[in-house]
Amino acid sequence: MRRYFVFELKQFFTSKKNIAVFALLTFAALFYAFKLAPAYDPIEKVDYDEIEARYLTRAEFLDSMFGKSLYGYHESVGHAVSMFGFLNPYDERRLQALDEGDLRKYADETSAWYYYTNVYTYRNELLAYNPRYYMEDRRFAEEEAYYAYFEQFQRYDTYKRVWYDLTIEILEQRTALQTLERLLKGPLPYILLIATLLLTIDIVTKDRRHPSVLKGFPIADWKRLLVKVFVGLIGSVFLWIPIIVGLMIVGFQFGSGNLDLPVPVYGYELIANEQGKFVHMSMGIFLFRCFLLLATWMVVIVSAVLLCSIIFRQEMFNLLVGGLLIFGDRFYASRGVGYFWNVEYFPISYVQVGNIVSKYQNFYFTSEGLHDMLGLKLLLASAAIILVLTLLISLSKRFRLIK
Amino acid sequence: MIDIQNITVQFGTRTVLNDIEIKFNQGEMIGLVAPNGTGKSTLMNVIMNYLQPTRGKVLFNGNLSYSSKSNEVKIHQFVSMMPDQSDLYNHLSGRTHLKMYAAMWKSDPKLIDETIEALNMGHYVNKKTGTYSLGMRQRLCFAMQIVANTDIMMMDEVMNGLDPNNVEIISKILLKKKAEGKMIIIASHLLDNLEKYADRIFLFNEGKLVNTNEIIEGFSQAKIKTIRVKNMDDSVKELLKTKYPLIKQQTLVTEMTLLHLPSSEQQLLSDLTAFLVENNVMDFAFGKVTLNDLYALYYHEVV
Repeated sequence: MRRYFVFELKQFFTSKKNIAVFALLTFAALFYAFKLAPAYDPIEKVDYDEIEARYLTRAEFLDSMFGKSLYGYHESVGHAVSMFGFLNPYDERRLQALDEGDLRKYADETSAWYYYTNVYTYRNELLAYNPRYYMEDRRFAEEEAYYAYFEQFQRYDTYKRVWYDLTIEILEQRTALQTLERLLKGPLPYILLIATLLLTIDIVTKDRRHPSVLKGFPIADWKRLLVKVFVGLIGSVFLWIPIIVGLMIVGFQFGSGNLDLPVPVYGYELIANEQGKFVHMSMGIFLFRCFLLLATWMVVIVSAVLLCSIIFRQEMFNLLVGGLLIFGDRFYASRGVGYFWNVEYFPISYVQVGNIVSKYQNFYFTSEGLHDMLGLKLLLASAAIILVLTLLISLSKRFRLIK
Repeated sequence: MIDIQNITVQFGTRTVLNDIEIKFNQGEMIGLVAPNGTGKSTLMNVIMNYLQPTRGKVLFNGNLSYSSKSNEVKIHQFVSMMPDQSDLYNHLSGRTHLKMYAAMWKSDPKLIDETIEALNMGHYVNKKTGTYSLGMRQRLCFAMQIVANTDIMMMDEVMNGLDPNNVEIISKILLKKKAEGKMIIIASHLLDNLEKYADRIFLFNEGKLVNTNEIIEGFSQAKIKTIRVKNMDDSVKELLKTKYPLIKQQTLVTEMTLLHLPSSEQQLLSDLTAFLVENNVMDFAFGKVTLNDLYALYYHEVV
């Protein structure tokens, strides 16, 4: 079996198609590291000019209203005086902290600023969040901004107490590990799963091109299939190499970050008592849980490809089924659907691993039940069922792996 | 040992193998001869269990049959079939193919270099097989089976695309393997070669295996039983018929006339030689019916 494994592994890594997949991913990773990562422009950034402009405008307004009676003014003026009077000192202290280069103090003031600004702004017709939240395709910009402000609050609240030195790169989430965090909450899971699908799509069907070479091998079909699963998974692990190289390049530019960096986690269950909607976990735990979920996803994809390969014997079906697994949640994914459907029991709801672990998906779906551990159990169960089915078929006396 | 028991293979209404029952022994070289599409490859595929027969079974070493998946693996540990040259991995080298086969059958790795040397493959074996000629690919396929070194080896058209030198080299290797006690089953159209080295040769007729010795008694024995005359005139044939009525004549499509002798008596041979020379027939040879002749006779290629 070991020899067959070596043989399959060699085929896997010398396949032109697989080399092309790795080359494309490497190119994408390098492009991201050299071009896209430096151009990252977060909505919430450490922007001295923006804080100063807001502070000075509000200070001027407060100065102009100083000592005046609010009688005869529109009621919103009273609100503004009250709110600006409360918030402006935070902005003032944030500017001072930046002037002094004291980022811990900046974090302390900023966490409070985000918290209170959010409380004042959310569902307040007189106020708005950063205009960049209100883009054309964001019908729920207010909700997204509300989420983002609380997330920022949680992040900065943690920065007040951390052991490591803070940098602007850390505060703006530009370090390598934070870049990975952002990517895991974005396109990376899709990219890796699609790449896994492409790598393994012909892992069984390719043998049809060499029947007389392979058919007589003294090894059982179920063992061959099991070997193919392992080879597919090893190949998928290698997909991380270009990603890691890209992250190292980001690390050289903006620092690598560390595994104690905070990752805010939406606390759905905390909504009721209004004590703040976020907790946090360390970057190490976040990445570990994401990798666990992603690795399980890869097992599911490889197993599904294997099952389809022995049933349909057509790569197009593998692509179709793999695509449905990866993008299947697009058929029902819409904001708040979790209130009506138990989306947490659909394994395909767990593709966006970063958003699952950080519980953004709970916020998006309005679902309490979505949890990475539940996703892990569902995906493992799915993989086990698919693999058992595959092995049962392969044990049938009439079954021929290579016809 | 292979014990083929009542094997029948039908494709729709067409019976390709019809109740075949035969035993092949270790240390034997078996030749299978037939026109294309008459069942040679089908029989090999049944022996390998690539094709399930409609009826019957194949027993190996007395009791092992393809009754289960695990048995199939056990049987394939000592039975192998030469791969087809069109199935090679074009992006892998010949040596990689050989290593793969040696590894899968856990044979002695030294066999790889020995086989490369014996088949004069050294100058190309490290190149990708996509660059090989047909003959080079064929030699590689043969080498793959040799390094697998199974007790039973089956080869379908092993000599295809090979020049006479390589045919001889491969034949010598096959003889060596036979001497080691291997059973070798070869389907080939290179009849001279097969006749030279095979212990038993079978023709296919309506799905049945027919031993050449059953078609012509003593075919495999080295006795003078036939005179083979090329381009014999009809007048000479008539004259011969009149003078020697006991001598049976057959003319093949190859313009070869076979004169089947009732005995190998020296006087008869001497008289016949004189008769042929007197009638200006110079191109003749004493011997026995060759496999080529038999093939033409059996498959009705007689004028």
